[in-house]
Amino acid sequence: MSLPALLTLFALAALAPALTRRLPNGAAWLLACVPAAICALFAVTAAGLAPEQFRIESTPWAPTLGASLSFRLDGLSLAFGMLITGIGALIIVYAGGYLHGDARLGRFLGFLLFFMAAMLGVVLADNILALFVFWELTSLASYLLIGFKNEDGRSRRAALQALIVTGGGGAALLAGLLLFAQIGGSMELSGLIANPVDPTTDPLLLAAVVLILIGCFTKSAQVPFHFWLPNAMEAPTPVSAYLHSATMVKAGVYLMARLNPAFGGSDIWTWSLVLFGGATMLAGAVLALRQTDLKLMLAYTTVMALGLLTFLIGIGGKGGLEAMALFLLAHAFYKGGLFMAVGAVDHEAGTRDLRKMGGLLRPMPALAVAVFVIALSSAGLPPFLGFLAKEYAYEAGLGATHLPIAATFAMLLANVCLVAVAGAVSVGIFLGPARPELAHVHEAPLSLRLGPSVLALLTLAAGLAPGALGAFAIAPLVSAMSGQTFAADLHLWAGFTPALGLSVITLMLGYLAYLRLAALRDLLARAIAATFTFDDVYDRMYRVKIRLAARLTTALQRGSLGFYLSLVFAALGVAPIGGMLYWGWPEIAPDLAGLRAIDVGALALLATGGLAVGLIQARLTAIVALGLVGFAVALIFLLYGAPDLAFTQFMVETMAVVILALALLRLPLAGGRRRSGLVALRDIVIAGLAGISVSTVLLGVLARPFDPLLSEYFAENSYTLAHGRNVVNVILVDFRALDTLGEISVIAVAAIAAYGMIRFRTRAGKGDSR
Amino acid sequence: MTPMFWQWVLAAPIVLPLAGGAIGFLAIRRVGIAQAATLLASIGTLLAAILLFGEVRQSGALVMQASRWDAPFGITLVADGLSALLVMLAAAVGLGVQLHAMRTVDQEERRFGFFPLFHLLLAGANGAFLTGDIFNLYVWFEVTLIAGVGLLALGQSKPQVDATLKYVAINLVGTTIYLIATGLLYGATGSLNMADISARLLTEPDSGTLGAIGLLFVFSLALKSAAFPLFFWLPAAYHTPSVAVSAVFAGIVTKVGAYALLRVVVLVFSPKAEMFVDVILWIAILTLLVGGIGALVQRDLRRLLSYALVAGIGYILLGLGIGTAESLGGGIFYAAHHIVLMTTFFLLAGHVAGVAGSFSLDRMGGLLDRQTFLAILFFVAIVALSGLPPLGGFWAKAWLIKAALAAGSWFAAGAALVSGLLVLIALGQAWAMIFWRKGPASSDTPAALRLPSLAPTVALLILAVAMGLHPEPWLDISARAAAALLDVEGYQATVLGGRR
Repeated sequence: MSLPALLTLFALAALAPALTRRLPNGAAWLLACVPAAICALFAVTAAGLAPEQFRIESTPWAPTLGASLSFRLDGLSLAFGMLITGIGALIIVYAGGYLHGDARLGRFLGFLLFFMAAMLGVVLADNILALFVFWELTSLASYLLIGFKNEDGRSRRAALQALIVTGGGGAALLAGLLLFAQIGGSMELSGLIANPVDPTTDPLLLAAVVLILIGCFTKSAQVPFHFWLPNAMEAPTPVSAYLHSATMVKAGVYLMARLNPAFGGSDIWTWSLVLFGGATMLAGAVLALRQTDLKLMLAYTTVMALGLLTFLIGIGGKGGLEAMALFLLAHAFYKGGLFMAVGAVDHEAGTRDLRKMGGLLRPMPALAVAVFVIALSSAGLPPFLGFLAKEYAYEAGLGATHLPIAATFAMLLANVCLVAVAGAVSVGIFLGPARPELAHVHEAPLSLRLGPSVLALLTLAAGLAPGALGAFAIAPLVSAMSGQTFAADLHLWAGFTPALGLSVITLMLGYLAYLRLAALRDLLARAIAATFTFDDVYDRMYRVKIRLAARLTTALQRGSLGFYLSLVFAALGVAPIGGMLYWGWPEIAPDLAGLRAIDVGALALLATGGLAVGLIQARLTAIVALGLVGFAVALIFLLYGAPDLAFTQFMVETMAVVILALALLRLPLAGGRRRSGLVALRDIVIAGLAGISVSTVLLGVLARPFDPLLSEYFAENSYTLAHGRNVVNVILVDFRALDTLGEISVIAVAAIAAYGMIRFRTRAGKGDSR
Repeated sequence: MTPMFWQWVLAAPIVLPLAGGAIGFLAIRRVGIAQAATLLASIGTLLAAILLFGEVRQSGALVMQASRWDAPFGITLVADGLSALLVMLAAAVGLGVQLHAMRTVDQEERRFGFFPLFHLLLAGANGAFLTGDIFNLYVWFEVTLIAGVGLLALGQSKPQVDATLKYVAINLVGTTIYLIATGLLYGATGSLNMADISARLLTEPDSGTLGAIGLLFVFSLALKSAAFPLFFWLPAAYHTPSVAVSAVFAGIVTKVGAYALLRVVVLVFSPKAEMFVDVILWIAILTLLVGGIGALVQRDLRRLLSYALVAGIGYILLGLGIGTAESLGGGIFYAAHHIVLMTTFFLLAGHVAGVAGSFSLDRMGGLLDRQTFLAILFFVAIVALSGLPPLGGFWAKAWLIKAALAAGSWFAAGAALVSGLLVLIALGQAWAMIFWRKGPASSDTPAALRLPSLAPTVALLILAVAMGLHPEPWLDISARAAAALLDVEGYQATVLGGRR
């Protein structure tokens, strides 16, 4: 069931552009039917599973690496799956209205469906490699979606930023997952989370947990990686509504929830999640108040919500997880709805600036009703789902095993901000005096209203029927996250509890904050300007990184052949000497006593030539000195019984000197090389080192007995088997004829290449060739 | 099929391009004949290579004793899993580039021997992949090098001549060092046959002399594969010649060096391989980082790809450096995928430059709406190269990281991840510049893109994508190739027969 669903969505993504071209008006509605159907399928499946039950579906993929397309259907994955496909269907319809008439609508819907499929893959996957594959696909899709308005520089920057942050997190996640799999002995999550483990017992496991958490934190925008999420709001609103509120950013939260049965009890897990989640929650809440752009305001409350979800997983236990499950649903409903509503207002009114809003109730009554319902839920008022979520969160905070007071207080602060924001998006937009500059505004079309309205209904229905909600969604979710069977018992009215008191306080403070929003905003703006933002830190790090890379690259890639060759020869000098120092200096026994005067003379000639090449400034003289070296070598060949080699060498050296000299005469290179003494010394040292190193190895080889198997065989068989008296000739044309074939080809190619170089019409060219 | 038939199949990937190249040279003024002959050779090579691969996969390594002199006295050609895989992919890529070149290379370059030179290059590469003789390998290096020089210099623009000079100077020195090392090893062991040498080294104690000779091999072959710190010649040269040439260099020629390093360390020095593995590991790590870092700051598309290519070499060497069967498999899979992908990517860069009028990123822009199909191809290639799932680069990377973690090589795993990320960022920046950003105002778009000239590129990209979406066959092939490479005794028995 999972694989066909995923493949259908991917195929649909590929088909979307063509379909939209054919049916510009109906395509979105048509496309939305598929995720809606999948959502229904998940709902039926979920209803058929007991809370603690799960089902695995597996198809082999790359068994060599332990990758399979295996999926785990349980309370957690199905709940997420329903959110993804359900809200996804609404978003598709919404996008069809939002980008109505835009030529790029087809592409956009394709990206959205692609993203939906990838996200669905993340929550369904049981195999860690499959999970990672889908995880990275969501990053890729979000890169494309954030950069959708591609001619806007800020969009491109935000897209690259998201790619860098989530891509870096992805790298950490891959390492962490592979490490975890290696320690746990399974590539399947089901196997890995079957038993609780304590990461502090094994440093490798601890490293795995840290790496996985980095992956989750970057994806789910936890402090200090939270900055990319508000920047991602450069994307068209349907994207923000979907990726950056309901789904993609929850991938990290999902994975933490998924792994909670394994790590849930351990201190490192609890503390990491509580601290980072708490910091994110507070930072998001505070920063949200500072915004004037409604979309950014919602974006920061998303950061806050992600923090709270992480925080609640960290608190853990039945209470924490139950609150987390409730808040997950509540937030998905109201945040998706609010984003869509703000987008619809923006679409009609042409602005999202809070300061320019007001009085839109009259032109947009239907949208206003939906928004008020959703805003009340997000502010945590009964009888909506948001109220339940908040109550249970307070209860979990008060019942936390570590620092209950601090936890509750942090949540209180965050919720106060939420109330203020809820006021801004509902009262701020729709009530108050009508603005003359907004007189042209009409009711949003059905496609833009459908999403907020459906989500408003859901948030109301869920709040009114807590029992059904608990049995259908919360119990399976908590069971999956805790690894133990859990029966939910939810009530809208739990009596006069401390949580209810906290709710009242929240509302009052929130109302106050809303009234003084402008003042708070200025205060925060001043405070932030005085310190720093992580976005700036990112920018600075990015610039430093590029500058360092440039410096390093130019240091190594200088463009000078002389430099490159010096490096090569220096390495030639260092490598063998280093090897011999490490593995033992060879026992060298050169037969110095056996040297004749003429040998010494040849060596002296060789050394003189070599030194002269290094010291002489005039090019021509240096070349002649180089010829001297060659002649000395030829002399040695002659002295040691290789006259044919010696003659060849004499010929080559003579020709080389003559040709080089002739070429030099034609070149405008009058004068010497003008090298400083230091450079000459450097070159001599490098050359000397290279010579010494190779010679030492050679002496080491010569000090060993030589195995004459080959030469004896050649000598024996050259006449009898190969019918040739000259052994060298027979080696060249018979024993090793293939070598000769190759060498002949080399010469032929060299001739052709030279012909081409000489005759080719010289073209001017651009570019640099460092 | 008779054994004789398989002997010919084994030799065909060397003989056919050589013959095609020779005919091309003889008919150098008759461009039509040269093209037809080389095209036939390309097709024949691919068919032979596929046959060869199938046979090796089914019944193990194939051996041919050239001129019928038994090993170790003559020269042995050997096709084991690794060789057959590389030869097959090189042939596929070679045919693709041939078809691409027949549509794009200009008349002048054809008249001065583009096609024959190209085929000599392929013959050299295939010879290097197939030879079982350490000196014969040097000969094929030379063939590849000199044909490469001819190709690089065709066109004769100033930067090309400059680049060719650097290429030839540095590679000639590298090849010469390889020759010195070969001579020293012959002096030390008395043999040139790889299997025979490895058998002889079995009884040798570790020593400074052997260590130094091995390091000379590692050093010269690292230079030839453009590994740290001797990588600089590659970005200096690969962005100047015609696109077909840089594509074949990127896909095939770089693999020759890396392959030789695998072969020499794992097979020839097998009893002593432990001595060099750590050195190679660090070379690989630094190559990964320097390639990724260099890619970040390039403003020329082909130079950017050249650095990404250097990083890719790092991955291949990492497989060797970690030194387990698993990591070798990962390295081999990376190399196989890289052959196809890098060739494709350079061809794509050529198409992009064709419509943008320049390889300079600063002068590009706005291609997303003008060239949507090209944009899709480019994006897919980015995903594959930067190691994002679900394409080939990812599986290779995941395999290597898995192997590194299993072996406890934390730095290796970290470098593999960081380098992938750096390349991803570099390519993401390039994508934004080429496709997303508003284009330059000029309306005179140079040559529109014609589909037939795009066809070979698309076909190669499909192959690369298939290797990623359905990786198992290739993973299995690579794992078996690694196992066969490590089975030195089996190799010795196959090559040397009953001897020794």
